[in-house]
Amino acid sequence: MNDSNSYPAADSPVHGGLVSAQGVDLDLFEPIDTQVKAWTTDSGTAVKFVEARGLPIVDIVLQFRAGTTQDTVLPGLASLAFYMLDEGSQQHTATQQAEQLERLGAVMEKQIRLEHATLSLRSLSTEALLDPALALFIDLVARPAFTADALAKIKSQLLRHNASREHHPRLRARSEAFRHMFSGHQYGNPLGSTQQGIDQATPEDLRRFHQRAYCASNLDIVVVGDLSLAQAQAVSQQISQALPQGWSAIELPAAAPAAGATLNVEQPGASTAVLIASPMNMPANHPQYPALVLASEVLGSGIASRLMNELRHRRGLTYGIYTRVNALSAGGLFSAEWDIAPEYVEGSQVLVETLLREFIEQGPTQAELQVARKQLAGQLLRDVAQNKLLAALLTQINHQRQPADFLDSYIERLARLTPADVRAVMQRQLDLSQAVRVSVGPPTEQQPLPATDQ
Amino acid sequence: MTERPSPPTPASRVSAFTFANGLRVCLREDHRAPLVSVQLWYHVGSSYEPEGHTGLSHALEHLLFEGSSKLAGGQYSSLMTHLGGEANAFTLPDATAFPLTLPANRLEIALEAMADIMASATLSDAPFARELAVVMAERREDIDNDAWSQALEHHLLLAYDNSGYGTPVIGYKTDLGHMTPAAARTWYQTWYHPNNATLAVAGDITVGQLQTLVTRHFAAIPAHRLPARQIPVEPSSLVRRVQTLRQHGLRTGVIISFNLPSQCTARSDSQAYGLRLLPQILAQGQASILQRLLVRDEPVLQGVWSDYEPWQRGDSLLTFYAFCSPQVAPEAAAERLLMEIEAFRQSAPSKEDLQRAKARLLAEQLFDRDDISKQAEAIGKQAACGLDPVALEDERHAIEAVTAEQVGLAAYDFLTESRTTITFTHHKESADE
Repeated sequence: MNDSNSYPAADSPVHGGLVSAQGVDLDLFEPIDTQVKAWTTDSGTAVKFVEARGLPIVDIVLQFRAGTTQDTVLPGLASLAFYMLDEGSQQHTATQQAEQLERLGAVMEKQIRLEHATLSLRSLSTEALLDPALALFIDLVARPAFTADALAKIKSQLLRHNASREHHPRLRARSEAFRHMFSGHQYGNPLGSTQQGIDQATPEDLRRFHQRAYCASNLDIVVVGDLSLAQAQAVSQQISQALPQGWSAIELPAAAPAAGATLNVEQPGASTAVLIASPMNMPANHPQYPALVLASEVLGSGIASRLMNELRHRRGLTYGIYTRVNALSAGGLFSAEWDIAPEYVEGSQVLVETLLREFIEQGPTQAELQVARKQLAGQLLRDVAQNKLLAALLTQINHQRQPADFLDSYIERLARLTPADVRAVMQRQLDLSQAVRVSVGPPTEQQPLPATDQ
Repeated sequence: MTERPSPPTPASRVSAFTFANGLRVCLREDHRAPLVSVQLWYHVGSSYEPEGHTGLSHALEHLLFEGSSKLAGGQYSSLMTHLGGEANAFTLPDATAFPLTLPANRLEIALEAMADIMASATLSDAPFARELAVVMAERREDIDNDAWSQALEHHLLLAYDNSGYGTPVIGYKTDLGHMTPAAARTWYQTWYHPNNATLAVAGDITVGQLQTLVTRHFAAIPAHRLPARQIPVEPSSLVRRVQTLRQHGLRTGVIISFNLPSQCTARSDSQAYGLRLLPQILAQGQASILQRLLVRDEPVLQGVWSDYEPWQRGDSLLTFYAFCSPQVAPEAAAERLLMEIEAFRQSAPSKEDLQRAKARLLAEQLFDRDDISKQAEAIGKQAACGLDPVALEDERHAIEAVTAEQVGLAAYDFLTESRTTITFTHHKESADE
C-alpha cells in the first residue's frame, strides 16, 4: 500500500507527486493502426471503408458537394432540396419512409453547410435489417418526390429556422462576421437562403438542382462497421448507380475579404456574445495547415489554452473562450469566440486582440506546442476508436482531399512542426488589421476589466 | 411487415466488486481499442442541496481540480491531456461525475490522481472567488441569456414543486452570490467518501487488472458516516399546474409534463419499462404518434419531441416539448396535444407502434455501445440512483417482454390531468410590448 506522506518533495511539473507516473515515458503514444480501404466507383464516387467487427453496427455517410453555396440563382434552393429528401420519394410517402426506417431501428441524420450536404445512416448489421434500411435510404436520396404540399411546409420551417438562428447570439455573431467579411461572395450568405429565394423556388427547380447536385460524381461515401470489403463495395456500387450521373460541383471563385470592421448588434439579453474573426486562405490539405491547427489549439482549445488561461483562470471573466480554423475551399477564417458580461465587451476585445497579436509576433512556447500535439493526438486516438466518429473523420478527410496516408502520418507530422513553423504560418496567414469584431447583446456603458488577482 | 430478428448483442456483462471502505467498482470490458473510460461518480447532486444552497454540488465540481496533496491547481486536467486523455466533469440532480477517457496503459496514473482528489482536495480560499465568478458566467451565458433554458428552469420548478428536482443544477444567482468556501468544504467533507462513490469503467482492461490498480490507490481511503438522505418524491396531492411565459427570443410553443415514477420508484419492471417506451411511442422519431398526427398529417406543430429521465432516486417526469406552426397559439397547440395524449391513454398502443418503439430503444442502446464513455456513464447513472449496474444486462430482455397492455396501463395511470404541468411560451418582440 502506498503511503501518501512518503513522496519526494520535488514534484514533477507534469505529474506532480503521482508515483505511478514516475519512470513512465509519458510522451509515448500508441500508433494509429486503422486500416482504411479506398476506391472509386464506376460512376465516380470516392469511397473509404473501415471494417470494424466489434459491434453489429454499420455506419454509412454520404457527403455531396451540394452545400448552400451551390445555389447561386435562388438562394435557398440547396437547403430546400436537402430538407425535402425525406419528405417522400417516388415510391414511398414520407410517413412510410419514417415508419419503415424506424421499425428497423435505423437512424438517419442530415446536415447541410456552406460546402456540403451530408446524410448518414446508422443501422444494425443483420442483413434482414441493413438491406431494407439501405434500400429506403437510397430511395429517398436518389428518387425524391418533391411534392408541392411538402415544399410549402418545408419553406415555412426553413424561414422559422432562419429566424430562430438570428435570435441566437453566438450564431448571429458568426453570421454577421461572414456577411461582412465575404460580402458579394457565396460565403456572404451564411444562412444559405433568402426570403426571396425561398419564396420563388418551385418543385421543378428542386428537381433540376437534384439532378446535378446529387450526382454520384459529386459524392464521397464512407462506410464503417460490421461488413466485409466485398459487402462495402457492393453497398457503394448500389448507392452510386441509383443516383443521377455525370455532374460535379462548381468551383467557387476565390473570396476577397472585406476590410476590417467593428459590428455591434443590439439585442436584449443578460450576456454578450463576442467574436473576432480574421480572414485566412490556406486549404486544409496544405502541408503547413497542421501548423495553423496547432496554433488554434495553443490559443483556444481545451481548458489549459492560452486564452482560456487569461480570460477564465486568471480573470474569471467567462466560462470559455474558443478559437477555430475554418478552411473553406475558396477562403476561410480564423476566429475566437466568447461570452462576456455586457459591460466588458470592449475591454475583453482589446485583451483578446492583444493576446492574439502577441502570439502572432512571438509564436508558442515549446511546452505549449507539446501540450497541443498531445491534445490533438489524444483526440485522434479517441476518434478512430469509435465507429461513428471514425466515419465522421474519414468524411472530413475526403472532403478536404487529404493524402491517403493522412491518418497514419498525422501525429508524426504534428511532431515535426516547431514553434518557428507555427509562428511563421500565423504571420503569413493572419492580418489583424483585417479582423472583424462582432458583439451581439444589450447596449451597455463599457467599463474597464476588473484587476486580476493572480 | 414481418417481425425481424435482432442481431445478437456482444457479451455485455458488467462485473462489479465492492471494497471494505464501501467503494463500488463496475467494469464493462471492451477491447475494441486500447482505451479506457474511467469515471468517478459521487452520489451527490443538486437534489441533495438544502434550500438557499442551490448550485453547491456544481460549484464544488469546479473546485476539485484546484489542487490536492499530490497535484497543483489545474494539474489534473493538464496531466490527463498530456497522457492523451480528455478529462471532464458534470453535475446532475443525483450525481457529480468525473469522466475521463484515456489510453489503457495510463489508467493507473488517472486512478492515483482521482484517489488523491477524493482523499485530499485542497479547496483553498484563493481560487474560490475566481471559480465562483466562472460559475456565474456559466449561468449568465447558458441560462440567463437563453430564453429556452430559462423557460425550462421555470417549468421544472412548477412541475417538481419542492421535491429537490425542481431547482437548477447550476444554482440560482442569489444562492451563488452567498456561497462561501467553507460551505464548499463542508459539502466535500460530507459527501466525497469511497462509500458514497462508484468507479464506473468501460474499456480495454480486465477485472483482475482493474482490481489490482484500484486496490493500490483507493483501498486505504477510509469510509465515512453519511447523513440521512431524503428521496425526492412527487407532491402527495397533485393538481394541474399552468403558467405562461413571454420573452424575447422564446419560440412560440408549449411544454407539457406528467409526474410519474422513475426506474427506481416504479412499482414493477413492467411499469418501469412500459414508461421507458412512452416517449418513443408518442413523440420520438417522425413516425411516432404525435409527430405523425400533429406535425405530418395536420400541421399544428413545427416540431415535437419528448424526454423521460429513468435514472433518478425519486420520482421523475415525462415531458413533451412543442413548437407551434405559424398562426397556431400555444393554448390551441396544447389542447390538441392533450387531446391526442388522452386518446392514447384510453387505448393500448397498436402492435406496430409498440414494435417500432422497442426496435428504436434497443437499437439506441446498442448504438451507445460504440462509445465507451457512454457505457461507463450508463453504469454511473444506474449506480447513482441506487440501482445495481450488473442489472443493466437484463434491460434488453425486460424491454422485449413489455406488452401493449402494460404500456397502456402505465399511460392510463400516469398521463392524467392532475399530474399535468403546462408552460406556454410566447415570443415577445421587445421589452415593452
